[in-house]
Amino acid sequence: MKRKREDIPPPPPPDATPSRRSRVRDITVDPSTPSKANGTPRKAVSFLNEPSATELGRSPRTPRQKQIDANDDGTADPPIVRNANRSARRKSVRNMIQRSIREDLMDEEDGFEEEDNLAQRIFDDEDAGSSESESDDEKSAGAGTSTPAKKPRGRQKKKKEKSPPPVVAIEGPTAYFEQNRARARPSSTTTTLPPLSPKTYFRLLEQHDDKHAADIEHLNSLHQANFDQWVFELSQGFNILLYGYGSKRKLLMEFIKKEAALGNHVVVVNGYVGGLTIRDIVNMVVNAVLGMNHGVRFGVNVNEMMDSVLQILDEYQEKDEDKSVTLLIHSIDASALRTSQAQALLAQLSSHPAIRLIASSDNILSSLLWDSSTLTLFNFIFHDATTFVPYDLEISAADESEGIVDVITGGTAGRSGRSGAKGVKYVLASLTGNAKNLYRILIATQLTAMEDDGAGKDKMGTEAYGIAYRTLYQKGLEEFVCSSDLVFKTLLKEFYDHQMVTSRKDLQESEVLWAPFRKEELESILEDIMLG
Amino acid sequence: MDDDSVLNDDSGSLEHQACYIYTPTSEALSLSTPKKRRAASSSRTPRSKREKTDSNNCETIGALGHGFPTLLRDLEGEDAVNARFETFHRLWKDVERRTDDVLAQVNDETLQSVSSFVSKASQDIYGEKLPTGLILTGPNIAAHGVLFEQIESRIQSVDKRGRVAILTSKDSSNLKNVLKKIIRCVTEIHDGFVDEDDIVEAKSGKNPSRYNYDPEIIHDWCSTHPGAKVVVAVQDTEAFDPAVLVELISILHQYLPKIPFILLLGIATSEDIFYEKLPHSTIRLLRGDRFDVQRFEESMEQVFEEAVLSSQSVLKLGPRVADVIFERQKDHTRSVSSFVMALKYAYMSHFYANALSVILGSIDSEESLNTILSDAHCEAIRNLPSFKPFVETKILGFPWRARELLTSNKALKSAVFTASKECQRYSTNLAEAINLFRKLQSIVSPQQANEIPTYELYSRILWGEFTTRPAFRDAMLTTKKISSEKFLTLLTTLSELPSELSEKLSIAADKVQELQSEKAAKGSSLVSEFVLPDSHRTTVKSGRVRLDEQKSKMTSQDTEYQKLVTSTVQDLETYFKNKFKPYTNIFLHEIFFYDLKSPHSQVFAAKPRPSVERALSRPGDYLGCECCGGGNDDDGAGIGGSQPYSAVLYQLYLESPALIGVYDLWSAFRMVCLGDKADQEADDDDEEEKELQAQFYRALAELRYLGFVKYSKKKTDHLVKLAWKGL
Repeated sequence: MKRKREDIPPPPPPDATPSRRSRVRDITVDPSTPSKANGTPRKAVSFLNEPSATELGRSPRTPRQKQIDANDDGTADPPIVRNANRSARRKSVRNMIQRSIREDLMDEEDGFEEEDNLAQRIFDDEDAGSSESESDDEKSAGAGTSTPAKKPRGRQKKKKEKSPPPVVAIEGPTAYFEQNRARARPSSTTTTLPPLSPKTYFRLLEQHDDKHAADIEHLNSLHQANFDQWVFELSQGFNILLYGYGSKRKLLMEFIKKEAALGNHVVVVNGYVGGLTIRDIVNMVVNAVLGMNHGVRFGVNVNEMMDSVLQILDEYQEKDEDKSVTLLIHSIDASALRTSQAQALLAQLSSHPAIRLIASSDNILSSLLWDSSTLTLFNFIFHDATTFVPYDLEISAADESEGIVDVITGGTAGRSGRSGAKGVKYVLASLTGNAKNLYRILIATQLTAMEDDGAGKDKMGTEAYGIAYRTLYQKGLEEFVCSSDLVFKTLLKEFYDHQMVTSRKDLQESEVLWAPFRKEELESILEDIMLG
Repeated sequence: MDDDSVLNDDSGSLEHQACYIYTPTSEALSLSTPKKRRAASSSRTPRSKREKTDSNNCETIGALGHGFPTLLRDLEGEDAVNARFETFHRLWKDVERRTDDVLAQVNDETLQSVSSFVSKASQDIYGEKLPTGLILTGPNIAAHGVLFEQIESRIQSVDKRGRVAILTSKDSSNLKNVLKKIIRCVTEIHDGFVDEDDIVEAKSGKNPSRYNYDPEIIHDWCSTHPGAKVVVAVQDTEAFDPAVLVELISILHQYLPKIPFILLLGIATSEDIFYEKLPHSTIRLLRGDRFDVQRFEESMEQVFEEAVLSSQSVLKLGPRVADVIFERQKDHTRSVSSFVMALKYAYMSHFYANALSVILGSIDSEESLNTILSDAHCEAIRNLPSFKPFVETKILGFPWRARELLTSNKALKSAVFTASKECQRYSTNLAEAINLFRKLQSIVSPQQANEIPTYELYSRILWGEFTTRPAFRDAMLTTKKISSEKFLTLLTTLSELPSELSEKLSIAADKVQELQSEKAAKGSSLVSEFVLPDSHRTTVKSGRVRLDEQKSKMTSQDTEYQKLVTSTVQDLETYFKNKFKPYTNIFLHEIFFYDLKSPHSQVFAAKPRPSVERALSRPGDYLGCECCGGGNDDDGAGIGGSQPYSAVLYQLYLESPALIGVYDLWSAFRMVCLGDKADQEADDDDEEEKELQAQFYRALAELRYLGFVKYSKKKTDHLVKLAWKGL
C-alpha cells in the first residue's frame, strides 16, 4: 500500500527545493489519484501522521526531532500538527535529496559509521542522535511523503539490517549471521603480542596459583565419588567416555589406581602424543595379556592384526572369566586417533568382553567421530566430567607446528615480523644438521646482500635480497648439505611449512628464495645456528 | 626441547609416552582396602535416587570389587549389599537369556531363505547368469555385521554348503585387494605376510605357481572340494566402490563356469538406488532373488514383550524412563541391541542405588524376605512415597492395622510381602490386558496396530490415561462396527488368550456361532444396528426413517446378536479400564517399576559441546564459587575478571567477529583481567603482565584444542572463529 503511494507521484527535481506550499499541494493531490480513493486531503494527512506516532511509541531511542512531533500530536491541534509535520517532512525531503546526490559516498560512510559507532549507538543515545535522526526521518519520509521510489526503499532495507541488537546479548544463529557479514573491520594487524619464551611461559604458569584451586579440587572430589559407579559400569560390559571442559588426565590416572587394585592389567594410551598409531595400542594390549616377550608376530594388515588380537583375547578370557584388560585412552579424539579406521578398530577392540575401555574426549565436535555402527560397538556410557583443570600436557604435547609453540610466538613461526625469529630458532632446534646448514647458507647469503645494500637493522628481507634456487642448490652441494635435488627439495619443504622461507618466480622464470625476517633477526638466527 | 624438564612431574616422562602398561605404585595397591569417600550430594551425579532412599553416603565394599556401595547411610548390612548384587545378576541374566533367544530368532527367517537360495543356486536354474541375492537389510547399519556373520556361520558351519567371503567397503580400495580377501577367506591361507604380491607356491607339483590374487586358486580349491559353493557377500553395497564392484561382478561372472560363485549384496537403502549405481551391462549379468530382513519395529516389539512385559521379568520399566528409551530408539538408534543395553542400564541403576531393590530378590519366600530386611530397610520403606497413601487407606477401615504398619517392623514386612505379590499381579494382569488389546486391535484395525507398536502404548497405559486416548476409543468403536464374521473370529481369538474374560468370551462366541448358523439358514448374515450404513443420512428425519426401515428388517437373531455385541464391548471396556490403572496406585511400585529419567537421558547421549560451552560461559555453575556468579542469577554472570582465564577468553571470543585479531583479543583480555590496573601503561618487564600473558596463551591454546578457533591463513596473527554458541 505504501509502495503504491510512493510509486505514483513524480520525483521532485533535486535542485528545486520545494516550498512549503508546493509540498502540501503535492500531498493533497496525491490521494485523489486512483490508487486509494480514501477521501479527503485531511484524511490523507492524518494517515500520514500515524506511522510516525506509532513509531514513537515503539522505539526507545527516538530522535529529538520526533519528540516535538509527538508533543504536537498530543495537543491535538490539527493546524499545528500539520505544520510540524510539514516541517519535519520538509527537512527529511531535504535530507533525501542530499542523500540521493551523494549516495555512493554514503554507502561507504554507512559501513564506516556502523563499525565505529556500534557500541556508541547502543549505549549512548544522545551522541548517536544526529546520525539516527537523519535516517529515522528518512524512514518516515519514505513512508509518507512522495519521494523518489527506488532509492528510499533501498535505504530502508539497509537500515533494517543495520540496527543490530546489542552485541552482548547475541547468541546462536543470530550471532553467526551478525558476525559473518562481510565488512571491513579495522583490526590491529600491525601490533603484535610481545613474545614470551617457552621457559618463561612454563615458569610463569608454574608460579601462578589458581584462585579457584579449592573449587576445582571440590569438583574433582565430586567426580571421584563416582568412581565406584564407573567400576560397576565397566564390569557390566559398558565402556565409559568422559567429556566436558578441563583436562581429565589426573582424574583418570586416579581412577586407574582403583582398576589396577582389582587386579586388571591396565594399558594407558596418551592420545595427545603425536605419532601414536593404532598398532602401538594393539601391540601394548597384547603385551599386557601375554607379557613383554610374547614372540607373536602380526601381519602388515591392521585389520588382520585385529582379528588375531581378538583371538588372543578370547583365549585369555577362556582361562578365567573375570580377567580383563583396562584400556585407558586420554583424549580419544586427539589428532593421532582421528581417522575413521583407527576409531573403527578401537571400537572392535573395545567391544571384546575382555577389554574395559575408559576414555576422555575434549573436542567439542568429538561426537562426529563415530557413526552408528562404531557407536554400537563402543557401547559407551557418557559422563560429564568437567574438571576445569588446564590442559597443560595436551596442548604442549600437540605437534610443534600446531601446539603451544605457535601461540607463544604469536602465530605460526615467522609470520609476524618481530616474534617470528624466535619461532624459527625453535623450529631449527628440532631440525637436522643439514637443514640447519642449508638455512645458514640461505640467510648468510641474504645478509651479505643486505649488507652490500647498506640496509638498516630493521629492514625486512625481501625479494631483492633473495638467492636464486639454483645458486642455493649449488652452494648446498658444495658444502655437502644435500646430495641430490630431491634431498634439497625435502629440506626446503620443511622451511616452507614453517614459513621460514618465501619464494617467487622472477622475470626469467627462475625461482628466488629469501627469509622474510628483519636484518636484525636474521643476524641473531645466524648467530644461533653458528653457536648451536 | 628445553621445556621438557619443566614439565616432568611425579609421573615422570610416562605422560609423553604414547602408550604403556600401567604399573600400580605401592600406594595404589593399598587402595584395595576399603576407603571411605564422602559423596557430597550433587545435582550432576546421575544417582539422584540416592538422595531419595538414603541421603548421600556411599562406601566401597572391597570384597565385592564391583563398586556396589553401602546405602542407607551405611546402615545397610553387608549381606544385604551382596544380596542386591546377586539379585541383580540373577534377574538380569534371566532377562538377557530370554532376549538373546528372541534376537537369535529375529533373523531366522531371512537366514532360512538365504540358505535355501544358496543351496538351490546352480547352473541349471541360472544358466550363464551370476546367482545373486539382494538382502534388504534396512537402515540400521549396526546390525548388518551381525546379520552377515550369521549368514556366514549358517552357510559355512550349519549347512556346510561351501565358503563365504564377507566383503565390506573397507576392502574395496582396489580389485586386487578384494580378490585377495576372497581368496583368503575361501582357502583360509593365513600366513600373515601376504600383502606383497607373493607367488603362492603350488601345493602339488602339477599346478603352476600363481599370484595370490589369481582366482584360479579358488578353482584349485574347488577341485579339491567338490560340490562346495563360493559365496561372496558384500555387506555394505552402497559404500562399496562402484567401479570395483562392477569389475568384481564381471570377474565372478567369467569364472562362473569353473567356480560355483554366488553373490550376496546387502542393501540398506532400496533396490532402485542399487540399480542406478551399476551399468545395465553389469546388472544383466545378475539374476536372483531378494530377501527382506525383519522390520526393526517387529523385532523390537518381540524383544520388548519378552524383556519387559513378560511375567518373568520382575523389574519393569516405568513410564518416564520408557519414554526416554523409546524416544531415543525411534529418533536415533533404531537398534534392538541398544535397547537391551538401555534396559540393562536400568537394572544396573536400580540395584546399584536403591537399597530396597533387595526385595526383588526374595519375592517368592516370605522367610528370606524377613531375614534380609533390616530395621533400616523398614525405615526406608516407611519413607517411600507410596507408603503414605497405603497407610491412609488402612486408617479408614482398620486403624489398628495402620498403627501396626507404622510401629511394628514385623507387620510391615508381611505387608511388604503381600504388596510385592500385589505388584506382580498387577504386572501380570497388565501384560495380559495389553496382549488382549493388541490382538483386538490387530483384528479390528490392523492398520493402526501396525503403525503404533506396543512399546509406544506402554507408558500411556502405565500412567493410566490410555483409556481416555483416541486410539483406545477408536478401537472400541470399531469393534462395535465390525461384521459378524469378524466379530466371531475376534471372540474366538480373544477367548484363547489367558485372561479372566476368556470364559465369558468363549460363551459369547458360541452364541454368536449359533445365531449365525440360524441366520445362515435363512440365507443372510447377522447384522447389528452399529453396522448399518449411516452415510446416506441427510437430515435427522430422513435418517430416522431409514434407520427404522433397516431396523424393521432386523430379525430376532439380529437383535440378540446386537445385545451380545453391546455387552461384550462393554465387558471389554470395563476390563481394560480395570487393568489399565496407573501403576502409582500400588504400594511399593517404586521397587517394582524403575522410573528415573536422569541417568538414562544423560549417559546415553553425550553433550560435549553444550557442556563445554556452559562450563566456559558460566563457570560458576560447575565451580560453585562465590566469585563467579555462583549460579544465582539466571542470565549468566557475564564476564568477570575473577573467572578462570579460559572462561574469560571464551566469553570475549563469543563477542568477537568471525575473524579475530590476536592482539585485539589480548587487549580485551587484559582489560577484563586487570580491571583498573589495565590503564597503567605496561612496561615489558612487568611480571604480572607477563604472567597474565602466559595465561592468555594457555587459554588460547586451550580454545584451539577444544576446537573453537583455528589460525587464519588469510591474515597474519588472526584467528578464525569456528563455533557459535548455541548454534
